[in-house]
Amino acid sequence: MRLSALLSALLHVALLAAIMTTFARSSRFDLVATPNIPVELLTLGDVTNVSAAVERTEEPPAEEEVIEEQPEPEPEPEPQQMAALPDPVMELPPPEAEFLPDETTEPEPEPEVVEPEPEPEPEPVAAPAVRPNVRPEPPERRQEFNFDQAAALIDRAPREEEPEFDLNNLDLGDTTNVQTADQARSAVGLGTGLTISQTDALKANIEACWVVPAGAPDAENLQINLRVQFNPDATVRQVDILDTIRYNTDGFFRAAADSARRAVIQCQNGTRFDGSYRQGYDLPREQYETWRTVRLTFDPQDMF
Amino acid sequence: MKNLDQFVLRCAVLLAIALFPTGVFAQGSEEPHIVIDQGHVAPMPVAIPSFTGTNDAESRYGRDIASVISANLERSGLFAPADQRSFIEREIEFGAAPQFGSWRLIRVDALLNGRVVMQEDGRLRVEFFLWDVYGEQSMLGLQFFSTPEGWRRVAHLITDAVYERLTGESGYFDTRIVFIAESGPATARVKRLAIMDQDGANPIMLTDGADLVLTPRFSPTEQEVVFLSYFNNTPRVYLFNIESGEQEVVGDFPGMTFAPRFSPDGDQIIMSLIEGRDSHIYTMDLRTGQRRRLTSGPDLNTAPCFSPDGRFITFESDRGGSQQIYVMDRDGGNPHRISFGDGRYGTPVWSPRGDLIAFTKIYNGRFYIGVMRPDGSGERLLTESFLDEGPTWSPNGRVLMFTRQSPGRADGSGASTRIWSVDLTGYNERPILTPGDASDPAWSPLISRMPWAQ
Repeated sequence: MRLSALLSALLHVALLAAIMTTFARSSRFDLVATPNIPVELLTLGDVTNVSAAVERTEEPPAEEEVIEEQPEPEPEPEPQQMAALPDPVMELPPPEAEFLPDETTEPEPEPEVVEPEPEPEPEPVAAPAVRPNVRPEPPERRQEFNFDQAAALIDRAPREEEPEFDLNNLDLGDTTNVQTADQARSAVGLGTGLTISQTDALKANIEACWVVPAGAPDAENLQINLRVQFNPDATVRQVDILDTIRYNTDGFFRAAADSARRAVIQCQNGTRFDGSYRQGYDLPREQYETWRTVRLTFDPQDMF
Repeated sequence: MKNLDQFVLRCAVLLAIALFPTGVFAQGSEEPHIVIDQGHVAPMPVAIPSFTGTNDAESRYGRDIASVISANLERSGLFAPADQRSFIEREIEFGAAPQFGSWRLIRVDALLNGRVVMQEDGRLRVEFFLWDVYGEQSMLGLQFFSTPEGWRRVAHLITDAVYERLTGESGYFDTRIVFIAESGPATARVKRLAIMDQDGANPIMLTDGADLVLTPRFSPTEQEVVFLSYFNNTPRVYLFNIESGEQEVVGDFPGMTFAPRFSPDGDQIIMSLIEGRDSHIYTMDLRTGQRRRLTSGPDLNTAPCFSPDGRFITFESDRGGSQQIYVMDRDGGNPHRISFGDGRYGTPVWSPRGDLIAFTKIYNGRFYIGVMRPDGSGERLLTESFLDEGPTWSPNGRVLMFTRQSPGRADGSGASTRIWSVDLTGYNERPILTPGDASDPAWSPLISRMPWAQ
């Protein structure tokens, strides 16, 4: 009796142990934890050697001289066109590095003031007296299209440069006079806008470099407006992204705007279809005033 | 009175002065306007020199980090890292502007310049600047601190930062993939739960293969996974925190064939359960355990998935006579079919971005992974093979991973099951390197949301 009770107890214990081990095996996995290695993040600032470069670049008070005092030697002329942009290095210390480039896109006040170089080409009408303050110029251009005011325009052109240009004295048999008349018209430059073929050429030049932001949600509605200022040699002087608020708050817009701006700068020099090299965009140099400032809208809608 | 007249006169003059330039400016602002409406789609050329260091160890980390970043960006399909042998400027002083002209010569749009410093406290400091080569400005500058063994994660984090700055969308590189590692003959297949980095590095087996595990799913908010196993031949769902190793049994679910998915807030799970000859969709509150049935009728309704805003559910059903994709409200109301193409559709998964639903399509004996808008429009097939199935989205909704099975010989040998990825263009399709056969990938959310993200 005692033996059987003992046996029974032992068997029960063994059975219980077997059940427990089986249950534990099946109901609980032997899972391995794989914790991530912690990483801390800081925006680059005082800790780095950026400060040295900051000192260098902060010296010039954002005047025209900034162009000459760019720390790095710049072999090409284009950087100077972008020289109005603040030096990148000094933008880094603030905690939000992402917003650094924004200053570069602030459009309105800067561009005209910063233009330092007197235009190499003698621009008969537009340039001379008005140079320090460019703002008043655009209205003149507007007047060009108003044929009612053509007389006033002609009146002024001789007053400034060519007093001898007088219809009464014009010798139609003299080819030099014909040339002068031509120059006068194109120098005024304002009687015509860009022709369709000129527009198409500029468009084709830029489109060759434009990489469309395909991955963005609703990318087809991501329109970017730029104001581009050109040099007389049709290279880019400055590119302003017009919607700076959205540029600062919308990452997709910022990437798309950067892409558009990059296309304008990147394709200013290139190769034509016939294999010839062009320095600057294919724009009629003698009509500089016509395309001195151009507004570009990058609209990918038709590509999706 | 006289003073009043003078005041009015002055105001008028001032107003005229104020308005006149405005009018002039408005007139003058009529510059030529050109619309650029044709561009092209191409990977952005970027330069990623090895991060610099002052000794061998630092330089080695610098090389490895740059290499991982470069591979990440290249694999995304959106970037084309330039060959380091083409670099003209070999040494860039960290923190100073590079010679942009020399980088333009090799036609790169962006330059990533970084360095590695081993600190006295033993930690690794990795810092970088991202430069806009044409804009000649810095776009981003960040600094990371980690233990040396964390260098790979640092590389992924840097990739995320660069990717986000250059594309506008958040990255997906600091993420992991949970999957089923398969081994052994077809008749005695061993399936183990495993995890790896999104690029296939650091694979770790989480289970020993003694028990069958199926269909792991990541929580959209936590580093937690649910998966399905069997206890006493009854499907049992486990919840596993891959960070802490904690696990719990969610419950036994007779009639379950796929693990449930989480709701966007992580408070609920949604699943399908077989009832007799039908299958219905249920939600379950993880706190109270309360279940709620959302479908009715004599149909097979399965593979449910929440929309990222939690307002809708997509699922597959044969209620219309064939296997198709449907969308309904979160309470089960207003179910409507959205797939109308040829063939059968299944395993719908809503994009984290909310704009697309990925699916598996079966047509003429071939399998496809595709995407469509939630209203069913804009269907695009991204992949095609003998057997593609089970898509899972990257956290930014731009890349999909899925299982691809290749046909074997008649005796069942020679077949392989691998994980592949494809982006939304459909052109960037790649296998993911795994230790042996692998299936059922589940993409984690970003391990940590870093402050550069907006």
